[in-house]
Amino acid sequence: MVKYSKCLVYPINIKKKDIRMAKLLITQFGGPDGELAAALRYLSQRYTMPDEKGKALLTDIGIEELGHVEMIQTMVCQLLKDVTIDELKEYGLDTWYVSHGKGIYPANQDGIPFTAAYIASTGNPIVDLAEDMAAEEKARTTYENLMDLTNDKDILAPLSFLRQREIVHYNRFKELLNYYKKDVNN
Amino acid sequence: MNVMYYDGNNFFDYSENEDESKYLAFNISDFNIYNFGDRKNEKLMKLEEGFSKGNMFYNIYRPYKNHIYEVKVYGERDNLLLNIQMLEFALNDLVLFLDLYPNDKEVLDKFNEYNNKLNNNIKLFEEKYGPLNINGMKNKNKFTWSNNPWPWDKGGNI
Repeated sequence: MVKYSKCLVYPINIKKKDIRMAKLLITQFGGPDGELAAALRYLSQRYTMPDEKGKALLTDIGIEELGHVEMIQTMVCQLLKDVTIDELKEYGLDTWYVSHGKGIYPANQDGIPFTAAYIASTGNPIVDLAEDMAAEEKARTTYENLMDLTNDKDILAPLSFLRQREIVHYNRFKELLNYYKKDVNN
Repeated sequence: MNVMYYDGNNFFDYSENEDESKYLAFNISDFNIYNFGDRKNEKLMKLEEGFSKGNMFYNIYRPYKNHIYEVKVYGERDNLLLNIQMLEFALNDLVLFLDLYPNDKEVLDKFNEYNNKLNNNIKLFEEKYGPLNINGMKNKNKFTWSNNPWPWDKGGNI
């Protein structure tokens, strides 16, 4: 069961409008290395995990990623507050506006819509965990690249938090994979 | 015939409607390199440090360049909410560890300690500022779950 708490995982209060960053950040919602892909991936893979450790870890990380989806959506939302049509045109978001107005939609920074082709769920826990480790590393570097592209601390702080979460997830997946590999070898 | 128009900027800006000094004045301080003394031989960070860094565990913590941020909030609602966020974060991070190492007594004890604090803080917050979950409404005669602010509204959250 999934329950909702009316509260963000990490505080987000962006005071300065930044249309350029909004356009880039959306990729961590609907892009290949984004939080939505992560959530769907882990919440799908958890059913074929062989034991309690795998079922629990994949579930807990998958649900945490849904909270991160909310954070990214919030950031984009706040960054676009009071944006005008002229500003949208200036930053190349007029193409977005045609289909999505000033709204949130799962796509990458070029407007390419989200697809389940971004994830794999092979039913094989060894393969799945290897994919999960790669996914977390890609997400980490994506956050680092996004952090390189802004100086606004209101944006950098949540991005830094999200980046560190990817590192933690990577390590837990690695530990679980090593544990399963040892089991397989016995 | 009633036609509904959705204004794209339908934020409920909490701070515009209330005394700002009472509610959210939000500040993230610059590059605070935490110096909590030599605690490298310890496993777990303290709550505020772990939350700011996004990681409760020293051994897997990796900063990016010199990016470290601290969250400052003002006002009672936001302080209570930040405490809840920090405790929820700690529980989540400790749970990921305990999923793989369920017999670790030290981490389990910390988990229970934070869990107690979280329940108390949630009760305090919900009594004064409304529900955090659908079953958290204290006044049975008033449905407040759908009330503004919502977490993404400016001033609604942190």
